[in-house]
This record gives sequence, structure tokens and C-alpha cells, in this order.
Amino acid sequence: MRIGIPRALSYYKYFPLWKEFFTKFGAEVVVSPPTNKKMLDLGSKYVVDEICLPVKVYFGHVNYLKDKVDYLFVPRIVSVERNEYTCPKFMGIPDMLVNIENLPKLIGPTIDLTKRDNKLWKVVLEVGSLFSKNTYLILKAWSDASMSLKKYNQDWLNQSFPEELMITNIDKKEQGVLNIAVIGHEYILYDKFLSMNLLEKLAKLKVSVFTIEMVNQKTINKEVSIIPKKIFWNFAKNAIGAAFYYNKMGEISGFINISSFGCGPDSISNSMTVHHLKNTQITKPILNLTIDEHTGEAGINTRIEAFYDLLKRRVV
Amino acid sequence: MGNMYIPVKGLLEYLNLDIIVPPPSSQKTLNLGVKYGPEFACLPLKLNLGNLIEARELGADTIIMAGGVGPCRFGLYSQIEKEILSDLGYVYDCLVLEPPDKHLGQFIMRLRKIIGTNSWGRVIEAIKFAYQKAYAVDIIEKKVQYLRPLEKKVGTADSIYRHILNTINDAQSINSLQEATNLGILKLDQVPQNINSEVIRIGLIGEIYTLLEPFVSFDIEKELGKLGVHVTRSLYLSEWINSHLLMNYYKKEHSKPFAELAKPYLNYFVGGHGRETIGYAVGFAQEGYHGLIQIAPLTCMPEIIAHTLLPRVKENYRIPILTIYVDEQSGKAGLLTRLEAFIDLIRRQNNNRRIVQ
Repeated sequence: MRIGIPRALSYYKYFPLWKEFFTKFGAEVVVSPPTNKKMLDLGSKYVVDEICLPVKVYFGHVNYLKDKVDYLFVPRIVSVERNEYTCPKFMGIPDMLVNIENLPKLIGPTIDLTKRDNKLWKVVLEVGSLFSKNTYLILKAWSDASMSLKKYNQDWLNQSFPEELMITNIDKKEQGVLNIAVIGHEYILYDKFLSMNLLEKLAKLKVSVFTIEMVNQKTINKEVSIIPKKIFWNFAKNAIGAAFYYNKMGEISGFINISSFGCGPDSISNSMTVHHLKNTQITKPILNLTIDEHTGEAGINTRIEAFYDLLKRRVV
Repeated sequence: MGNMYIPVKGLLEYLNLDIIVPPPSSQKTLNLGVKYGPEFACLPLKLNLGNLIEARELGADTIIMAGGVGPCRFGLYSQIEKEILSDLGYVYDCLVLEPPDKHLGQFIMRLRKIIGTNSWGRVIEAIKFAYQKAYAVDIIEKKVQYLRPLEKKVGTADSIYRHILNTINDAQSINSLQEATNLGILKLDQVPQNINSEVIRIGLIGEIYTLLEPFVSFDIEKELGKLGVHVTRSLYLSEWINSHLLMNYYKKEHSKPFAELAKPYLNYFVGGHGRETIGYAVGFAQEGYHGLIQIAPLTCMPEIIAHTLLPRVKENYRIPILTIYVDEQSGKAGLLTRLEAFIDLIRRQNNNRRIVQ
């Protein structure tokens, strides 16, 4: 039994969890290759232009996998934390997927933790029942899979990128010349095509990169608590919290913010972050990069180099 | 947002508060909002921001607005507007009407400030009064929508409409409100109509702000009226107030179960009015409307989802659908051209069908 997982959107946050879970039942997990232009072009056909780039990429990956697997794992991830949503586009994906012809069978559970009685274990049993009638086995598989995810997240908290992502990070203690906090959705930042290889470029400049995933939840929640209104998007909350935290960190010289053109939540959270950072006494420079379907890297390269120069001069 | 100021003013005046209604949204409002608002924010935020700045210029020191808990951006408007305006040196008290997620105590304190010395009984009366005003406005508006394609002289219904809105707005009691409404209906019933007009029925669906605020929709309903179109919207103010704020206290006349209708296409809540848009699209199609127009601010997330799904509704019901996104760069001429072409297409299709029959 081959189960396809698109290498897009929530993949970057949860992949070890899903892979481990399905593998425990003897299924073969097939992940689509890294994003390329052809995938994006083919995927874009199935959605309207105004939808953001990462979702177009997701459709590209689904389209790629559809004839290579027996099942596609395409969960509807509405919410992973109480009173916080992912994004409306995430919430509508399974309905939009139907636009693609010749899809294999879909495993598309809804994960909505905003509601009190939507317990995760119910979803786990629902999905697990496709493979086994044995509740104990399903829950054991889930438990093992959760350990895998925990280890994956621990890599982040140890200030390094998990091996699976195949990204270099300069260790600040040894080789790093500059420390920059890079804020962006994980499905943009760790997708080399979408991010135009931002992280590799920074590594080449011997910049040590700090990301949202490297800050623990407790710190993030503490940082955002100064905002009176609850931020009801999970990513935005994490991004704002991490930015506030990194702002206070003396060794961080500046920020790079990477967003997709047309991203709804980012349009609000970026503005809020800038407002709050401006109101502290600290003045770390911020570089804003907006990605869209243009693939010319020259513009991005110039801006990164200029920003690097600016930061180096300030440090000296 | 369109006529919303009428019920809100009614509510607050009933509670003896000193109200400032910002001037109707205009290019000046938009320019202010675009200048100070985040570039990629949706258009309603920018206009709302402009409204607040204009209200401040008139001396407002307290803002009352609705809020939300996501995933639509609207829930964060109050927070981000406060931040932007404080950067401009405008500090104000703000009461956001939404389920309080953090400081219940603070919410109640602020609410008390608004209510002042009024009794809770009076507050309930005020809410009822506000709803009646919204309901009256909707009755009149629906009549005007009906008359626009039929009136012998273009603009007659609208000039009566403007006048009635003023009298409804000025009404201080249920009685005078009832009088104003009845007079309005009488006057509208007397508008001379063309009997033989071929009227096209269009369902107007989409995001609430662009549906209700004529400034951002470039008066789309009036323009469609001139093209011989009877417009019905998926959203009317009193219905929205009833279902979102009053927990369906008032019995609905003919409610469309939009969630049910939307199910084959969109099976989950996506925020905003995404599901309503699909549900009403299906509803209108089933009722034999000739076409649908979806209107939304650029980058509106729930509407983008709906837009992606509408082609299947179009296919299944063979109903033409036009989607229009508006932002600060939108121009009326462009919109008119598209409307004319769309209505032309529909008329031609209808004629062809008749010939075939």
C-alpha cells in the first residue's frame, strides 16, 4: 500500500509523525520530490490565481503524486491549538482538491482542535481504522510516531535544522559571522524553490540563522501576552512571539521576513510585529522579502547582500 | 459599511450617548486608509481605518466596533487599528463587541461605560429598536432593488430611498419608525413602472463589506439596475444582525440553509462568508436566477476559497458567474464594462434559449 504525502504546507512541521505512523502499519510512504517550476505550473491550473503561492505548490505536489500512489494523505488541518486557526485556505483544501482529475483514494481527516470535544485521538483512530481493527495497535503506532515528532522538534530547540530538511546552518559559536533571525512560514522557508534558496545563500555568507521553530512554546506564549487581543492564527502567534523574543536577544543583528504575496494572515501579523518592535528601544533592521511566481533570483540576491553589508557595518 | 450606521446610531442614541457618525466613505477616506494601513491588508481594513481617522477629526474619543475570533482577518482589525492610530498620536477608548477571550472584567467595565445609567431593560429595548431600524431599512431596500430595473425614469426609486433612509435614521421611537417605513413603502409603490421590461435576475454574493458598502462596490446595484437587472443579495443587514448577534431571536422569514446547500462543494467552515457565498450561489441557481456576481476584496481568503469552488456550481446548474475583486486601484469604468458584457451575455443566452424552444 503506497501512501503519498505532498512535500508542501504542513509536511515541514509534521512529516516524521505521519511517516512513522503509516510505516508502522506496513505502508510505503511516498513523498513527492522537492518543488520545481513544472510542478508549480501544473498545480496552478487547479486553483484561482489569487490563492497564495504555497497552496499552488501544494496542488502541484498532489498532482504529481496522484498516479504514483494508492492513497493520498491530505488532512484538513483547521486548528492545532485551542482558539487558534491555521488559515482559511488550509481549511478549504480538501474541497478544492476535487478540481484535480483522476485522484486516488484520499485520506483526509479533519483536525480541528478549536472545539473542545474534537480530541486528536478520535482522528487517530479514524485514520488508523483503515489499516487495523486493533485499537491498541493504532494507539501504539501513534505513540511511537509522536516520539519521532518530539525528536524532530527537539532538533529545532537544540538550535539546528533537522537532517531531513537537508539545510546547512552555520553554527554561531564556531563559524558564524552574523546572527540573523529569519521569520517566515516553514513551508516557504524550507522549500528551496519557494524561498529561492534563502537559507543556503545565508549559509554561504556565513550567517547563522535563527528561526521560529527554535523558540519554545512557553517563551512564545509569554512574549505575545503583551498584546491585549488574542492572535487567532497559530503561525502568526508563533511568528510574533519569536520576533519579540529575538528582538531582545543581543546577539541577533537583524531580521529577515519572508512572506508570500497575498498572504492574508501575514499582512496583519507583519504590521503588528513592526509596530511593536518599533516601540521598543531596540532598533534592529528588518529586511522584508515578498515572494511570488517570478523566479528571477537576482533581485533577492542583491537585497540579501545589501542587507548583509548593512548589518556588518553596524556590528563593526 | 453601507447602512449599518442607522441601526447602530439608533441603538446608541436610545442609550443617550453622544454619537459621531463618520462621513460616508469617500476617496479621502480611502486615501487615508491606504496611506497608513498595511499594504497587503484587505480593503475593508483600509476604509475602516480611514473612517476612524475622519471620526477623530470630528472629535470622537471612544470607538465601538465589532470584532471576531478568526480565521477571517476582521477579528484583528480593532487591535491593528489601535496600533496604527497610536503611532499617529491618536489614543482612544475602544469597546469591541466580540466574545472576550482575555479580560472578561475589562469587557464588562467598558460595556458599563457605554450603558451608563441606563437599566438593562432599556438596553434590551435599545437593541430591539436598533434591529427594527435595520429591518425597516432592508424592507425599503428590497423594494428599491425590485424597482430599479422597472422604473420609467432612472433614479426615481433611489432618490426616494435616500429620503426614506434619512427619516428612518431620524426616527426616535418605534412609532415614528413605523410611520417612516409605511410612508416609504407608499411612495415607492407609486413609482411609475415599465410593464414590459425584460428583467434579468442576478444573485449578488460575496464578502459582507463589499456587498453592503456602495463606495467599494462602485454602486454595483444601481448600475445593474440601469442595465435592467433585479439584484438580490446573499446578505441583508437585519438578517446578519439577527443570526450573528441576536442568536436568531427573530424568526427568519425564509431562511436558506446555506450550509446544507454548500455541502457538496464546501463541507467546512472557512471563515468570513465563504460558505454563505457557495450556499447562496446554489440557492439562487436552484431558484432560476439568470446569473451570479461574486464580489470581494482582493486577497479575501474565504472568498478565494469560494471562488475556486464556484466553477463546479456553474457547471452543475449552467449558470453564468462573474467574480470581481476590488482594491484601492479598482476603477468604475472597468467594472461597468465587465457588468455590461456579462449582462449582454446573459440576455443573448436567454434569447437563444427562447428561439430554440
